[in-house]
Amino acid sequence: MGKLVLNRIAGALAAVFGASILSFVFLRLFPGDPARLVVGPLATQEQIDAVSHQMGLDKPLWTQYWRYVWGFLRGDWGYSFGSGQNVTTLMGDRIPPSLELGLFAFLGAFVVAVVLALVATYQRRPIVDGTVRTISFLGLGTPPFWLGLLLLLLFFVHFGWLPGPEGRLSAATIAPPHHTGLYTIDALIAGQWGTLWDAIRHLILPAFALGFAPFAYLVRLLRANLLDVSREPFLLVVRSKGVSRWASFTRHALPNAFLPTLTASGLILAQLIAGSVLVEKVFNWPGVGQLVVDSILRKDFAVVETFILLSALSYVVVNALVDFLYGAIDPRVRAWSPPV
Amino acid sequence: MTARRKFGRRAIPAGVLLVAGLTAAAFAFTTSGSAARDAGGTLVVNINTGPATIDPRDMTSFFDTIGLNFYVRLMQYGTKPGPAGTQQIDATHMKPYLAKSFTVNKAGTVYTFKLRTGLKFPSGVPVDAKAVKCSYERSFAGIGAYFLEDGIPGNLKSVAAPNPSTVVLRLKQPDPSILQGWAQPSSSIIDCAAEKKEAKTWLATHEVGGGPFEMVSYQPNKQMVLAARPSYAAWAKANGLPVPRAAKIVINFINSDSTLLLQARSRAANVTIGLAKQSVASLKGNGNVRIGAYPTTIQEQLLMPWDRAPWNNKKFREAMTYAVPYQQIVSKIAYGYGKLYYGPLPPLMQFYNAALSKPRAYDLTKARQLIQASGLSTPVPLTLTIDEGNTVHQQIATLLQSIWKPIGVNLTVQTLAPADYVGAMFGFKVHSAIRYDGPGVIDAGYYLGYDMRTTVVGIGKNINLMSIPAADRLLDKARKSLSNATRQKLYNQITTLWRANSPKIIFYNDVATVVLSKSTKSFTYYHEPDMRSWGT
Amino acid sequence: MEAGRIAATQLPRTHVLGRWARAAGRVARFIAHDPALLTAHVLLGVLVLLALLGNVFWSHDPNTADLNLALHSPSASHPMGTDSLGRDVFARFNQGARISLIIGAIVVVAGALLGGAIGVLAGTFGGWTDNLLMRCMDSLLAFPPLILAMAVTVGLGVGLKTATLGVILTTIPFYARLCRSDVLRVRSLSFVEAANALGARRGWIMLRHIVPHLTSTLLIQSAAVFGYAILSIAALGFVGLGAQVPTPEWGSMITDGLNNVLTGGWWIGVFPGVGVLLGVTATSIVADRARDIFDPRGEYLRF
Repeated sequence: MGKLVLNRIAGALAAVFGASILSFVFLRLFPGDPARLVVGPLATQEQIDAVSHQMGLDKPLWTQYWRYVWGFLRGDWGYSFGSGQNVTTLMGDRIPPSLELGLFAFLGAFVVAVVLALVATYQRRPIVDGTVRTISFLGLGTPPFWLGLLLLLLFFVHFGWLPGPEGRLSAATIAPPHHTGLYTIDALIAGQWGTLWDAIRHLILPAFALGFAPFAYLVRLLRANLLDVSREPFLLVVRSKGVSRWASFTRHALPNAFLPTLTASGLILAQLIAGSVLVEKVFNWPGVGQLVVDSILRKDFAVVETFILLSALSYVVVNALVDFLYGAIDPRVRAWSPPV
Repeated sequence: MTARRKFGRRAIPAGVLLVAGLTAAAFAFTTSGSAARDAGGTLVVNINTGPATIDPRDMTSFFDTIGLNFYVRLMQYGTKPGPAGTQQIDATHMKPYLAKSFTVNKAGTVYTFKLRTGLKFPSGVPVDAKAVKCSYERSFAGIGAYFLEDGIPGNLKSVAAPNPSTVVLRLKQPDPSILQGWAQPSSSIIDCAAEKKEAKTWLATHEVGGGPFEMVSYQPNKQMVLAARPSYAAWAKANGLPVPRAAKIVINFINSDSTLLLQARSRAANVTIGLAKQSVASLKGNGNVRIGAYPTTIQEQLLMPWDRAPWNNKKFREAMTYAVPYQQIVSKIAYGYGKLYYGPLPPLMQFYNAALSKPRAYDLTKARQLIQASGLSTPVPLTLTIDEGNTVHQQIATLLQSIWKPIGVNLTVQTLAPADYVGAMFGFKVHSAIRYDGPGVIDAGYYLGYDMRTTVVGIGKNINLMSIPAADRLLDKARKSLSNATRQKLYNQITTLWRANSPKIIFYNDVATVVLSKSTKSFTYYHEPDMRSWGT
Repeated sequence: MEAGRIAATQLPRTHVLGRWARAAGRVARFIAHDPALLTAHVLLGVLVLLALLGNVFWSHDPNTADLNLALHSPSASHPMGTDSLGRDVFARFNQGARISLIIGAIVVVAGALLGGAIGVLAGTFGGWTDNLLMRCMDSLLAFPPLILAMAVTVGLGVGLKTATLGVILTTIPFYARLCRSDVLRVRSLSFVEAANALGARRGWIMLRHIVPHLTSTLLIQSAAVFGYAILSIAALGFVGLGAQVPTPEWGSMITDGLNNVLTGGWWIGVFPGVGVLLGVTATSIVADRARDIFDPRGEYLRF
């Protein structure tokens, strides 16, 4: 077990290390001169060279790489010349909006997926089952950015029920005092109900667009797992003890069906990151996804590299955590050594 | 089995925990809270792009020049009545600003400024001749030199401050438009001592001025909050200068056109700048807003670098100027906010000659004949570079691609990220490009000095790589001349020479649009956003 | 269902048709009996038809701009309307289908070849080869796929070709991991051990005995990758990193639609999105059913 954990950690570190090298190499090999961007079109070659020197772009590649990794570890994520801010500040500014959106999307997707999967397996009617399956297939095939566009056309342009692509709050609403950076929670803490309502209204459409794909994935997984679990003998025992069918389903089958869902969390996280990059553009959400797309286009090295390292880290950490939890909880996994 | 079930109950929290862990990570960051917006006396300005720097020395783009509001300068632009009850810039009437008055020697090379007294920087240091001298010297060491010398390299011989209220500026050759150079943001007067205490790039995001506004807060690419500077207001009042009308200005940088449009529609913004023409047009007839349309000296143009085929062929260049549906572009892509002309000087510029600068016609037959006469074998391959995210450029490029194919010109459109686009253009690496550009100093000599002249200070050559030596000689003469009649004659000759060479395509002269909410009573349009008179 | 099976077995066995034709017939009957699978195939068929023959029966050119026709809503002469430059959206949709399907195919083939090769090498040789290759694959997996594709595209110069390369790169680790675990499974089977004992060379064993066993794995995975490729290319096009103007690529058409969302013109972005939706959904149904039939273990990676 100890060796397995060590192996796992070493593998995770190697993956992050590899990702850092890859991202670094990709971005340095880009054509175009970031120093030119900083000083503007009228600058002379000397000025460009001076800025290049200041940014450390004239140092050998390995020195630049070392600076980048060491800086990252110390929490100094460099300077974004595209926006004239420290990347740490920038990320602190941009991550909470994305996090809030991701949380809402995930929670919504999870709750609805559980309900639908329960209904589909409990009812066992072909129509219900077929509908759930269709929805889940559509969810996997719908481009999230297009879904966002569609939702905007319907609920903003056509019906006018929900706010348009104007970010997290209406222009007239004042942001709640800063505690967490998540406007819904901050508004709750401050007891500003109007602001809370406004923030929620702005979250509905983007969260829907972002959560649809993870929802489709979850509903499929849960449904399949529920069907598997419901065939297990222990459920028969439970039923024979006089527990009602509904109770045996919700209290005994459902919790057991969650276990495999955990393995999917790495994938869902990846879906949320990728989705938010696109959905934020549609809704002008001031999140980290938009920032990264802009930074890639502007060759703002520091931002892109930081984001890649952060997401690689979270991906690796989540996967390692899942493995670990799995092993700690399910003794069968511990017995079974993976084909490394 | 027990273990499994136990975990099963915790599965939901576990899934949430996964995300919650990340939440906790985010809490660790410190963010500056959004500035609270109070309603009274506050003006909300929405702009599509934030400045890259607000250091006076380095301000080049329109968006950078927002920084001019923190500072005073020796001179300022005049104004005249504009559309929809607003005011607009009048570059032909320059007025003293920090200067009370000025005199010029007969040769037009020595300017002596008498300064107004009493204005102080927040540090208590007076805004006097010494401050002017050190500010000019600082700017002069950077890109600002280009503006301080009005684009004539090496023309500013010396800056002297014989006493606290006198500044003497000496030129090598006379330059009638130099006063505009000294009204440019790069000629702003800063508190040098205060600046020296800070880090090198500090001024890019902070201010050390004594001008109309002070900075309350600034989150780059997001928001800048200005407040009227009390010390300035008192001084301006005493000197009969305009006092800032708004007590507080919240400037939001919003790079999404739909958000800009929505906020303009909902009256969340008093002033909206940089809204796409299509969106502006959709606001026509909206009772909540007024649309201000102001002539500018900025052009949408197609560069034809002369040193490379096929642009080194004059007949071919001429042919292509006839292969553009100018009227359609103005009405369907610029939504009417554009003017047609063809010549070196745009209509708003002094010495523009309308009779000599008639727009080219859209005539595909003529274009085809000219291509045949050029001797080039068709199809002619061409690569056109445009900037990512610029809808107007993309639309024009796509349109030309479709129209030019039948006349034997195969256009490949190359979209570059903004950084590469600028780099490629100023590295003279583009085969051709669509460019939106106009001068900071609204003067014919200054404009042609970088747009037409064969050699240009700083960047080496003009970006179109055109070379009309005869016109260059005329230009150098015109820049020195102090007589308007002589200058008009020289610019007429330049116009004729320029047109004969068909150096580039000018799609249209841009008409700037600003959307004002109904409550915004006072507004003056400048080509650089001077906000003193903006208010409700 | 049952009736159909009986009818199928009762068909006279005509030797004229040959083995392949009979196999095709079986597949066709199988598809016909599964409504979801049938729908998926019909949808894919329609898309392929539009992609292949769109420009034959629909005379509008996808790239001809005419500002006088700009922003016309759907009508008989323009079933999907016109865009802001007056181009026919239906013609562009068809062309977009062609681009998406071709890129999907390229990604599948290239990803399977490269990823498969890496997986087979790692699985066959083991040791440090395996370790090195798989660590590289892990590093690639640690990137969010879309961000990786975007970085590659910008690095190599924005365009449809580089975007395709970027997407291919993101599929390689999936193929590699899958093939490697398959190789490990096959390697321990008795016939491979027998060949080994007989003194056959490792390369020969790999080619002769292991690779053929990967076919079904690769086929099933490829169906899923095909849909993923269509979606990813559209996503890259949407952020402006895919097709260059005037190429009618679905993702960039959706961006065009987004630019017009507030000023009218819903049709510009909605139709190309329907194209992506149908293409991806249909292929994921095919992939899913194939998985159910051929590999009940369900080890395949889903995107």
